[in-house]
Amino acid sequence: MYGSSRALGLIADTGEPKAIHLRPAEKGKNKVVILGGGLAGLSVAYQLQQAGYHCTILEASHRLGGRNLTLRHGDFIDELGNPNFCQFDRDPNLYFNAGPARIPGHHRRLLNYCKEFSVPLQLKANSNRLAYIHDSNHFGGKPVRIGEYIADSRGFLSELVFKSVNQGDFSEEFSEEDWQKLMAYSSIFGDLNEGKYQGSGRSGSKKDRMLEHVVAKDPLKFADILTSKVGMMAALTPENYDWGEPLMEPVGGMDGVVEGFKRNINAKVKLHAQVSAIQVNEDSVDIQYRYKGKQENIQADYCFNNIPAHFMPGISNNFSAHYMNALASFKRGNLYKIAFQMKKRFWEEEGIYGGISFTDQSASQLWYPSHDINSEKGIMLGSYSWDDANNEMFASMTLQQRADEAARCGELIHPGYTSHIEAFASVPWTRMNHMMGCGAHMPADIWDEKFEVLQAAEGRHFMIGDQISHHAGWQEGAFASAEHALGVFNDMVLKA
Amino acid sequence: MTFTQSSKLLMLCGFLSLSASAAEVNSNIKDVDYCTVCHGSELVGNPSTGAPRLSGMDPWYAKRQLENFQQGLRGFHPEDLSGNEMRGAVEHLPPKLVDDALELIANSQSAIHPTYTADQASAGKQVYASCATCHGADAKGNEQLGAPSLLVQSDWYLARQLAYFRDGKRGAEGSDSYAVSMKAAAQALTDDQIEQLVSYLSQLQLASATKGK
Repeated sequence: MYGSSRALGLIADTGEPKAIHLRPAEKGKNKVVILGGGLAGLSVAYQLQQAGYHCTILEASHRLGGRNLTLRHGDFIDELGNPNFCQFDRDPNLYFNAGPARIPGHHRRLLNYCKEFSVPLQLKANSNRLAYIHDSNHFGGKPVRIGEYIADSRGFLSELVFKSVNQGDFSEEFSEEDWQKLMAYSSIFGDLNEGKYQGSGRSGSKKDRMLEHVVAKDPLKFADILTSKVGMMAALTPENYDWGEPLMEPVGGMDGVVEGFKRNINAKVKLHAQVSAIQVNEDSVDIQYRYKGKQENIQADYCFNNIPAHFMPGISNNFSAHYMNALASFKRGNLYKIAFQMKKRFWEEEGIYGGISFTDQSASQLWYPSHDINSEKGIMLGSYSWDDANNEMFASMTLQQRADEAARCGELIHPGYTSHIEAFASVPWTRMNHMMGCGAHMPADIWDEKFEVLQAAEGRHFMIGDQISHHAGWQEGAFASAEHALGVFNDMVLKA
Repeated sequence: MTFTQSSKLLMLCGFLSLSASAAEVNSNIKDVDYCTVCHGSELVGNPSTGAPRLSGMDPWYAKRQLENFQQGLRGFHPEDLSGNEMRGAVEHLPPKLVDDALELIANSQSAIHPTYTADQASAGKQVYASCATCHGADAKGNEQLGAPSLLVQSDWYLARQLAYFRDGKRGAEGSDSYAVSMKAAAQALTDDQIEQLVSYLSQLQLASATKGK
């Protein structure tokens, strides 16, 4: 639901970051408390310190970064009821980005921070024509290469266009020459042979194409192509603006972004500090929080709140009814990922270097690492789904059951898959302590109204995070929300 | 694929065990502060996380429900997502932390905020007549009969649980005899009647809160 509505949609350009010019802080009005050390909170801390503010970050969990979580050997995975430790080998290249994992070139805010903090980036293949589509009810239930599906689907569609034009089925709006051009275009687009699609070398050859002429594979059934949802997903998700190649990732793990902020912010950070009350006053904000088993207080001039909105009804506050109502309208997203440490990079022996295979089984997606090609071992993503039922099923399983189920799905694409598994780590965001969700959303008919309420300040309190953007689940959404809130804040300060 | 089907498959292909034992990882839980993550500060409850109000709950009832979750008597129905989450969260909780959690509940204090209007309260009073047998005319509950107080639970949660009992999402585990009775009692309730009942209980809660002051 979360991604699928976007999967085939067109999304407008991501905005260019606005240069944030904050008015320098005044003495006696320079204390800011930031609730939650996720990326929006970290970026607010970074921007405010440039203007001379003193920030305190209260973070409920054991670490900064929120859902920007990269797991490596020994890392604590704080799942409610299933606290566990990442069992990957001690090796800096064996890591799992359990939250955000890819950056498109138009996420300018994030990319600017990477540049500013010298976070090295590498390309990450998101789509791969040699990865697989596995649809148990189509193509004989056998995995087919994505490139084969793409070549055949274009071929058949082009043939239809070619035939329609040839039969003069279209209106007379275009000249004869235009029609000729359309036929020529469709011939090239679909690799037609005299207007007919009879398979294409683009889908692969039956024989060694270096030493013999290409012998095109037999085309898949057109009916299968049209009705395979998995096939469509595999072929068309890269059309989404956020998933268009090339994508990027920080070298060594997505938390390179968090480390960049940690190196560059001087805010006071308190971990294990769970906010229990927020009171917005005329000229200050009072925060109560639990810290080491005790209740503590902090007063600040302003407050930026990065806490997942679904926690807010459980935190005492004196917000206005319409603001609280907007906060309480959020639904928790249920995104879930599991990763396997594979003792051998068997996918590379099948010609797959990076990218994603898609399946109609519960695992839904298998991601192959783009980094450290040809090394001995690798971490691959064993499941990532946009289906609520899948995500809920995985979340309610034991750790072992999750691994077994994801392995079962992988086995159908790569026979022997299970035998390569050495360790696994799973992150169901609905059950992660202090998170309890990823992919916040609310009913479409109320979203615009509530969004406007939450983008405005509630006195000296500003709500931030990817939740206060049209891009929940993306770091760029978090940075955009912070940038917007800082704009509102600056206007407020200038008027004061 | 249903959960049960996939569980069967899983048993056939178990391949790898976690080397860290449940006890080992649970030692990482230092305190019961994490109850408040979902249940809110002072365990006031939170409809957005689906977690009920716990402050004010009778200690014997809180204990029984925690034990139910731990012993597999509650939180298994796949459509009871919050119940599933709760079961996952406390299933392996060591006894010491269970005691700490119960103490936290006993010591928490929060105001209850009834949200249902009085419109349907009089209709609800009629429906409530049969509930009063166990829960009492004043809805304060009856420990001997195992019936909890209905004055301390948020109305949104009461409404949801009534529907869960009726629809077999709670009380289906069989060996929880109290839940089985409640399931039977809720069997014939219509959505309208649930609305009316909770409206009436909201009014009782308001009256009780005023009296308390």
